[in-house]
Amino acid sequence: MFLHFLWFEIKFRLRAISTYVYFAIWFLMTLFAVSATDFGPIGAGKVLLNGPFALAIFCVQLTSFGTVIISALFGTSILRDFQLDTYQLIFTKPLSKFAYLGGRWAGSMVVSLLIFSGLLFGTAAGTLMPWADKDRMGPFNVWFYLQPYLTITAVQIFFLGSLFFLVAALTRRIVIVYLQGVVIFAIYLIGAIFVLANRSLETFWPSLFDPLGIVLFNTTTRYWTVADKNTHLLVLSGVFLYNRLL
Amino acid sequence: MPDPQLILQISNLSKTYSNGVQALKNLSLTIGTNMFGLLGPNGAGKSTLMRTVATLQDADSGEVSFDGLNVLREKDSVRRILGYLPQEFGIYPKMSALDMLDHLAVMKGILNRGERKEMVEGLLQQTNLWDVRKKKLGTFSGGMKQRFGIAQALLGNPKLIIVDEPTAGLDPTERNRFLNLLSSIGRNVIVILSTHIVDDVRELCPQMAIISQGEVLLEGSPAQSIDALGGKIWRKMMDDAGELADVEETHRVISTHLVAGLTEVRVYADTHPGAGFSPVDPDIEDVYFLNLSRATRN
Repeated sequence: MFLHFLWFEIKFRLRAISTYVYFAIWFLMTLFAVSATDFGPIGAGKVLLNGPFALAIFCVQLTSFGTVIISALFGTSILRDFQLDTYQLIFTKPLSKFAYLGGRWAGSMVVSLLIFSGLLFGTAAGTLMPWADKDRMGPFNVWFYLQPYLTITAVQIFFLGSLFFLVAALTRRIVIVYLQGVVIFAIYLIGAIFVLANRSLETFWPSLFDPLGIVLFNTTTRYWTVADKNTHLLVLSGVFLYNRLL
Repeated sequence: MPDPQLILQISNLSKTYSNGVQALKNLSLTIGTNMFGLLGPNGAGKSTLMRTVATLQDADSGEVSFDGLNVLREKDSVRRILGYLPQEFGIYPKMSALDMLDHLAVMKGILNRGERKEMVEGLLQQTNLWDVRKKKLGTFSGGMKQRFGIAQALLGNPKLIIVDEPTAGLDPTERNRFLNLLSSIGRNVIVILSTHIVDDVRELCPQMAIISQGEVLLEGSPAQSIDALGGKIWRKMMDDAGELADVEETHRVISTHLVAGLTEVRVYADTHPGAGFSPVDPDIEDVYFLNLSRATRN
């Protein structure tokens, strides 16, 4: 039954236009970030636009912005039966809570991962655009794409998604579902700017508890050289590892 | 008399909502196999009763038992043999009838693929939805959606079927088709039809109960209840509002209808109520209105 719910959730999402819109947003954002330097977070300089640093920063920033989308995906998956008033049909069936909740959670997870993979495909496609700056493109390396995606984006979706799913299941209010994504993102942004702006070098603790990874990312890569940024992946060690484990 | 095979026993059920509305007042009912009509005005507590029996909400006190099960506690076991058509329900608008029915069948616990396919297709044919099975549910008319609702209620061969106000909002053709479908479900299960439409009960139910303000006013067969009023219902046609007010003062008026511009007044009286009145054969509507007016008097 669990697998049935999982498949159902995925099929259900694949019928929704919003799924494709979200994917397209991510795809286009990174496509332009890579192919047009002014658009992206890297800016002018010598850092490779498709290097590991660039990909990691895409993952960090876009996943943070994606908080709202994560909350919409996970929250509505649990609230759908109340919004559409189908709960009376469903809660009079002898279904197991595990299959119902677990299936929907896992389905949302899969769909979110698919949507956010748009940023990988966008980056890859961006390197191929005719107007892209060929001098700043490194050779294609699958691991440069997958590693930040798995350690940053996937982990983020997992934690935030589960949190939003839980809140939605407990409150059953659609307003809260949409608000929580926005509010968490806003509070976070204020906190992150505060931490980054006071220029303290003691960023271990803020980095450790940073749920979205912007401060963390900044701490970890602060002293990287251009060469580092073009070749190093964020290594799972030190504060980065602790944060991800949390 | 209720069939001895299956009995739904509702005993001393009470429910008060947090806003102070007392929806059920120590309500008891015994329901046997076949169609059972639960008649009452809007707000009588019908839906609360139906939702409680359908394991959607809890009562404050009282017991419900069915076929050896404690309905209020053994919810999962009840849900296996329950078919419920809510008063209002939604569907997944972008999904086809076939897909959603299949999804609901899995929830019902019909995990064998072949068995499920057979049941889903059979029900779509029985409810006359076969030709539109691949259409999106969002495009369905009220009657089609209601028939889809009964199809999902019949999943898993339920022994206890509850349909809550199923004909409200259907046009006469759709309503007829729906009632025919209901009556074909079978005589070996309990079907509770909750409605405020008196004709639904007259056409379908050998047993019925009238409830109002959370209490049972009458329990029995429609035919017997009608017989009990034999010779006590009288009617008079009038076109004057003053005369009507007089009659309401001096008689027990149970209903007034407009018939071709004139007002038909029906009164309840043991003996001839006076000039202009003629005896009529009582019908189920008289039973219904008489019981409701008795309840408001007390």
